[in-house]
Amino acid sequence: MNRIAILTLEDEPEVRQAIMRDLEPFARSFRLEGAEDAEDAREVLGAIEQDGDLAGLILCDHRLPGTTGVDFLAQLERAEEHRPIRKVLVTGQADHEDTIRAINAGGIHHYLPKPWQPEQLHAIVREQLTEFVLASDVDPMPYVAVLDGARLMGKIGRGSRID
Amino acid sequence: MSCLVLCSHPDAQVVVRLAEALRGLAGGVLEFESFDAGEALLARAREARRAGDDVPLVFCCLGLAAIHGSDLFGQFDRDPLLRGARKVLLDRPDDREAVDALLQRGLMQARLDPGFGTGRLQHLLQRQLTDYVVHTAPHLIDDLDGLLDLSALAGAFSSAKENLERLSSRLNEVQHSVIGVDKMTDAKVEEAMIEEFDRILNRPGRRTYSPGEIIVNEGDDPGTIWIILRGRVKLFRTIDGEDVTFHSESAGRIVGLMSLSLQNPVFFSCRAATEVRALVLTRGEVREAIHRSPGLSNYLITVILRSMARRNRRATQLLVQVRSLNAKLERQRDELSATLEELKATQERLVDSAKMATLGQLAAGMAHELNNPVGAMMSATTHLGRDLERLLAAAPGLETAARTIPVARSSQPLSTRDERRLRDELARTLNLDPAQAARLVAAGVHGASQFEDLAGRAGRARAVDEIALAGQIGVALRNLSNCGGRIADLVRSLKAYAREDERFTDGVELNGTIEDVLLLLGNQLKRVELRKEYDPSVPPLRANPSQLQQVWTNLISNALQALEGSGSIVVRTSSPRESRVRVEVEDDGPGVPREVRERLFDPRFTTRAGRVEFGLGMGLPIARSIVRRHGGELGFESRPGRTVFRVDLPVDPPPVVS
Repeated sequence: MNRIAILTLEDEPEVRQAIMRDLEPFARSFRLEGAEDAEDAREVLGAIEQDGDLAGLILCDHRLPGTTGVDFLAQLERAEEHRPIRKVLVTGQADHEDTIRAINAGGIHHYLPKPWQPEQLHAIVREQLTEFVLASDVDPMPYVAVLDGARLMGKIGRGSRID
Repeated sequence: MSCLVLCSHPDAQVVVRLAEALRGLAGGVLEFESFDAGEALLARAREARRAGDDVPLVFCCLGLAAIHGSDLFGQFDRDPLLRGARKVLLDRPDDREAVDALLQRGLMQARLDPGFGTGRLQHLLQRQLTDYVVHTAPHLIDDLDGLLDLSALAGAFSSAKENLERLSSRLNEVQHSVIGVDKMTDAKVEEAMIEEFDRILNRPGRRTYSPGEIIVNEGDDPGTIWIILRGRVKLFRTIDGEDVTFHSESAGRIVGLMSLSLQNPVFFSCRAATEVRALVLTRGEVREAIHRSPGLSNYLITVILRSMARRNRRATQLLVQVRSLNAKLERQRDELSATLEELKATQERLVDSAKMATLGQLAAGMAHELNNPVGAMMSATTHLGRDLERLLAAAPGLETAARTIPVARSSQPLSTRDERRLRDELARTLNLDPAQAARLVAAGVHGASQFEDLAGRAGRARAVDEIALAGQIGVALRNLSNCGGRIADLVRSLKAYAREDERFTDGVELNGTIEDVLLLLGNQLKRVELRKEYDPSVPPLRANPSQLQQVWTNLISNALQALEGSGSIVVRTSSPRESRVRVEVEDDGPGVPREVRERLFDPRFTTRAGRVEFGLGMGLPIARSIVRRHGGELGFESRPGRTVFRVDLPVDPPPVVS
């Protein structure tokens, strides 16, 4: 099937539901998944792989039960197969030191402070997923409408020149 | 070792004759050396003595070039190494009186006419060498064997024993006469002594010192005494570059006598306080005077004793002064450090109460500001739900939505695992795509039959959309209400925390105060495993609840910091004894480092320099001061893997002393 998945890792159900609700516009083109802790998130990543889908983006809270978002993302960054995933830290509580670590060790691509505005979230998700599609060997055509069409078209053009 | 006989004489013939005669009499025992100048002779004598050689005999005439013979002898007398040499005037002097004076002052011992005969020289040699052996160099007795007057030698040594006996009886005598002299006043004894010195030494030289002039410096060689005839002196020592006067009234009228008698370097420097006129005597003069006048030594001893007594009294006074000053200093130091301690404690209390007040004001302000909007929000949420349900009930064709909203509003959030499981189940049984199934699950639909109930007669596709949409609305209403409730709880805790009064209230529930704090810290506690071990039977106590909450906040924050993100915390309450309660906050972090333990309760101490966080650095001292105000004690025990902070409180604390 080869769908691209967006995983929201957030332990508070209300907040998780709010984020996923705001991701509704992407629901047609992407697989949306939620996880409440790090272990569950790994399970979801496993399921995505098993279904033949691709994890493309993780929206991750910083304070999590038993760990931090930065530590979790750093672990993903160290695993070869998870490195291409775009990583966004969604938090109201990371301090300066955490932020530095997020960038240096976590391979964070973006930092979204809470509380967020839906439009803000949409823009970030679009940009990050566009980056993911551009960097992967996924066919960009189905995403031209929902992501950054102009950039994706650029890839298509270059691709045809190489062919 | 050699025995040198030194000679300085301008007449070469006399020198040659002396050399030959000596070779005849004592060749092989005495070595003869001759010098043109007196200085050269003196230098050679010193060099020989330093090398360990003996210089028993010196011959010279008065009229030497550059230095007068009597001065040369004087130099010999002043040098401790040369003092024992027997000095012989090899001259036929015109000035008999000068020769007599030299003899009398002990500066020379014999005279030899330059036209001497061998017999006369032999006699002189025997007598002087014998004296040298007896007084200065008994070790030469074998070397000079044939040259000595054996009977004189025997007499000298046998009389030594007598001398000893005489000396001790003399001492007795002196002691008696000192007691006799003791009846005289200080002035009278001193006058008598000066008169006696004048009489015996034929009125020796006087010297005048102007005010401030140094008479003698500490550390100088002893050898001279000053008898103050007029004026006053000060005795001082230079300590750390500063002149410290030890004696002025107690200085007395004799300076240098103590060092002379002890043969130590001069102990005190002496400066003229006024114009001073003094009698200046050399060691030789003093010795000669005492030798010739036994009465004088009585005076001297009396003067020494009195002067010593005076100075001793003065020294004792100084010592007493120093001791009392020291005691005073110590007392002041103790007072100062007590004051400092007090100041620190006061400062601590001030910082405490200032911090509490600031936090309290902040919390009270926030609680007040939040209370109204939260209340309005909760009320609006309730109305919204009710109005929506009424509206839908009246709307034909929206029955499915009307049935769904109450279900969604009252649904409980599921774990993400359960959500996935239900989603997959629904997708399979109802043959939906997973995204649609997920929307149903989010709307509170947990199974196929529930879906059928909600859908009623509506078609599958329309029912899914309607249930998902209405479910979203219902869940949103539920979340609004849940979150509003949480904010309301937080506001309540903040209010409790901010209760500003210092008053104690009765019946405070210990476990309740802890629960309030855990609620406030909820977000931070997520990172760790928290275990509550409450003893439900702890008695209510008399306390200030907001202050107790501050203590629990600080202890738990402290444990959180120690864990640095992962680990577990146990909060435990108990009542170890009747009318006592105990709260323990335990963590399994690395433990309090040994070097930090002593300062753990010092204000402002932090092991994580540079990072400022709520309560950090002040937390433990504040906690301790609050606990103490409650008549309790805050302690801790720590090892790697287990640190326990323990608060013991009386149920009924003694009245607060502020």
